[in-house]
Amino acid sequence: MAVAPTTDQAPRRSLAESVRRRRTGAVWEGIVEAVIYATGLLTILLLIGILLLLGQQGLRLFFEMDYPVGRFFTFGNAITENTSDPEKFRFGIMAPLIATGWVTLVTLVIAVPLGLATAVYISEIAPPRVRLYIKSGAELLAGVPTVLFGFVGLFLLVPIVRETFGWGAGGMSGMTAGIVVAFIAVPLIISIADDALQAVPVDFKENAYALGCNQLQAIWFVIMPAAISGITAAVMLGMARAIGETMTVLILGGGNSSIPELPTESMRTMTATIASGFGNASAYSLLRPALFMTGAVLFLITMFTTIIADLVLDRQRKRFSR
Amino acid sequence: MTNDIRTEVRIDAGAERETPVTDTPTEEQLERLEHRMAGGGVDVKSTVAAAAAGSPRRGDTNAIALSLEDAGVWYGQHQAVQGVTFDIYQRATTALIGPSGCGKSTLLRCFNRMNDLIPGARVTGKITIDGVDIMGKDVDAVQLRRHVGMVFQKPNPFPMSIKENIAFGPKRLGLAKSKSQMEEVIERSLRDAALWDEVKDKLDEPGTSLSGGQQQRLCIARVLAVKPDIILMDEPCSALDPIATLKIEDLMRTLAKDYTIVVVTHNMQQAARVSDWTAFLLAGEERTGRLIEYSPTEQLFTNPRDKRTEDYITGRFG
Amino acid sequence: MSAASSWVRTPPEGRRKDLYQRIVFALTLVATLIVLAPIVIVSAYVLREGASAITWEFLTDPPRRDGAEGGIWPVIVLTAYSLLLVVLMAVPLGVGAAVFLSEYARPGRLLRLINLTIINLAGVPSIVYGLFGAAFFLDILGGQKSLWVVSATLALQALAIIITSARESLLAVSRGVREGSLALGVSRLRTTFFITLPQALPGIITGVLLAISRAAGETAPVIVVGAIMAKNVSLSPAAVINERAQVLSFELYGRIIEGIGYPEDRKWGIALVLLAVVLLFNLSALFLRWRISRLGSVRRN
Repeated sequence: MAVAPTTDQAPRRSLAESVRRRRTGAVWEGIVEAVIYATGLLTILLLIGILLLLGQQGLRLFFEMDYPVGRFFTFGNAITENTSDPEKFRFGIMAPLIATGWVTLVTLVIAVPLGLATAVYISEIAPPRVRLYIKSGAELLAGVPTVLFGFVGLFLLVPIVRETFGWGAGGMSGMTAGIVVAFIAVPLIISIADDALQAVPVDFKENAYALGCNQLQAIWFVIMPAAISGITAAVMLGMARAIGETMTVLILGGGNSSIPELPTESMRTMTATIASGFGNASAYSLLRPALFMTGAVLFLITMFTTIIADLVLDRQRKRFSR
Repeated sequence: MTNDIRTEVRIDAGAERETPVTDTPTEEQLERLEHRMAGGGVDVKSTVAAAAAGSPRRGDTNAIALSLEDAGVWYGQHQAVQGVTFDIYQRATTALIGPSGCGKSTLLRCFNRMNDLIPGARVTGKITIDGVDIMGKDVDAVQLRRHVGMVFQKPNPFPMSIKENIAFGPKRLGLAKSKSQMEEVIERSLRDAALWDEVKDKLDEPGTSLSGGQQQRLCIARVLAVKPDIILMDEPCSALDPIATLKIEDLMRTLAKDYTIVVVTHNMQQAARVSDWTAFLLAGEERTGRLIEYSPTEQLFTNPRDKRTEDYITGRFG
Repeated sequence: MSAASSWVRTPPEGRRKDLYQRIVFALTLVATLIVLAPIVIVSAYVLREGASAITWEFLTDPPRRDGAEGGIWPVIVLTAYSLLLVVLMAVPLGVGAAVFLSEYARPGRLLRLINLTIINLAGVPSIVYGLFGAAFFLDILGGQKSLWVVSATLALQALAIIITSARESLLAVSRGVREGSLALGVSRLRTTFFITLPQALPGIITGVLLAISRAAGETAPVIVVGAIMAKNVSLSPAAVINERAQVLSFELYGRIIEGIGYPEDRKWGIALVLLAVVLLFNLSALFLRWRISRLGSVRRN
């Protein structure tokens, strides 16, 4: 074929010859590519591994240590006692579960309005430059270690709560924890809600203006309804974040292991129960599998929430991709 | 938290900033350009006649570079191209023309198996180069692309210096053995792409600092550096201004002396000016492209055999 | 909406409408300020309470009398080891997975499944990673409670962040240059290594910095997997395997809950060091991202 004499290059092969030859380095490339595939599949393996291992360790409580299943799910206290006697072990998931529920509720009541208002402000009202600054600020907020939030909350918020409301154990309560967790969940809500608002096509807005809406009406009646899936997902992911938060609820929750009837009581969530009990749970006690079981339940709840949120988000993506 | 860490990275090297640099045409090119702008050769037939008068050439019809036999392309459930059969000759320029959506680019991308990269794309029939059915299981598409180079619609220089852009292929494919060889390759490729004189003093500047037309010639030089047998060009001038287009067209005529060139173009004038053979494709209602006519360019434009070709080249549709 | 035309004709109502708008917009601004306030409050408070504890001795001396005197040098060094280990473990795996997702995987069920998996991994509570780390590295692999076990657990948690940001940066590289390289007969792997990855590098580094910042501040999994408070140990790299973990976040937590008699200002000093480390990585990530987006927008114009 069209080849000038090749003096300056490696010997040239015809197409017919070279396309059937193995490329130099093909073996190495194959190995590296196999590794790349493996790392991709590793993610699935990790998630399944977490589920299986937590389940396996947790189920030992019932199958090896003869702790009654019913008692685990109904007993109204979660005492992290290091015992190997199933008769003496008094641990049920109800109390931590309800505590988590209270803290999450308080979190959402505060974080959802704050987060959505901020998202509306940066997405629809603030100039682009300000939007960038505030988004960076929100990310910085998300980056502050939660143990610091807990620590500062302990010294700043707890005394105020104790003296003004007298809630919980010396100011430490589900309410106190929830207030602080709200600020941990809010950056995520802002980020996803902002995306959802930004994804609404401009002509929606223009149509609203053309009908005589002012900006507020356009936001309230047109943009927010159009972004409702994304906003829902934002709230759900914020919820998952609150459910999984450990350090602030451990430091600020008060630590009462029985069922809290009001959010203003001292309480210990699922995460706080695991964190406070795991350190001294010996390998042969019932406590260790009980905490794994609690972790497994926690994992399933957050996974379920995340998957639903993703399905909801997917709906929005499909709606506007056309 | 997946969503608070999304990066707002948008590095789009394909869409580099256009610098005010423009290609400087030669006197002779300017004259031709003025002639063209003034309406000379707007009639395709006269363009063809002018081009044919220059160098009547049909390549070597005995030496087949690439042969298609009932070739078709599917994208999932949709058939984009159906039943295309013709031969492309060595050391000639073959143009694929037709209205947009007729599958000409799709067909071109079969010749170096770039369609492999598109999920759901499937090629049927037989495409032979040098006696090898390139769709065959034993054929390595990566090796194939080394022999069948490609120039894209939008100039896509790598985000590196001009020199490194050219050196990239030979280096990655292990073609040049020493530094001096590499420098030879760089100079030869840039000369062959008619770019050397314009860039020889700024070889270390980024490829993206060149003008659009220069970038496209850089991309051609990059392809020449790995010495392909066939060069595919997918609407290489559609993103360029008239002067840059003229330069690329001149370059194509020169390159056709040593290389087999297949060019997709929506511009009939261009096909008439640069090609020796022309294939006309057309898609019907179902958006499946078929080959309507394949003839020497001169004949296709002056004396088309098919009514639909006639309609197309006289501008009745498309 | 049908009343649109009447609004134009009834100015009082229109004015009220604008008043509402102004009030609501003001409220959204107030909400934004409330959201951002904690950064200022936390930083200012930690700085005020902890600055006095920060001395050269505090940072570079080993602890004496159970940490009540001397410094936190071992904690600082072991935290650095730990973060380095997190990078060494999580970056190859994370970038590998991102390359798989952006360059190799074809759209379909598997890709959808892996993407959903990553979203879930990012949403797994940190304490659950701690439980997994304890069960996997200690029980199954039979490791001793040590710095590497803590680091490996934190690395697993960092994976999701690194994969997500690396995938986004890789996908943002234009298809044109990829095709340009492939069309030269350069293999997909080499194209990835020599064209795509270099272009995505700034974005990948941003993600890695964020992941480091997160790992430095993470406390819950460290509590579960097991760490100790400041103690004078050998700080050779072998400490990674031989020594129990000492990290800043745990040091702070431990001093809060067991800190009767531990000087208050030293607690805040630890908090300040932790905050400084986290903000350092976080701000560099933000800075890098700003530069990238500016670069990107310049190129686009």
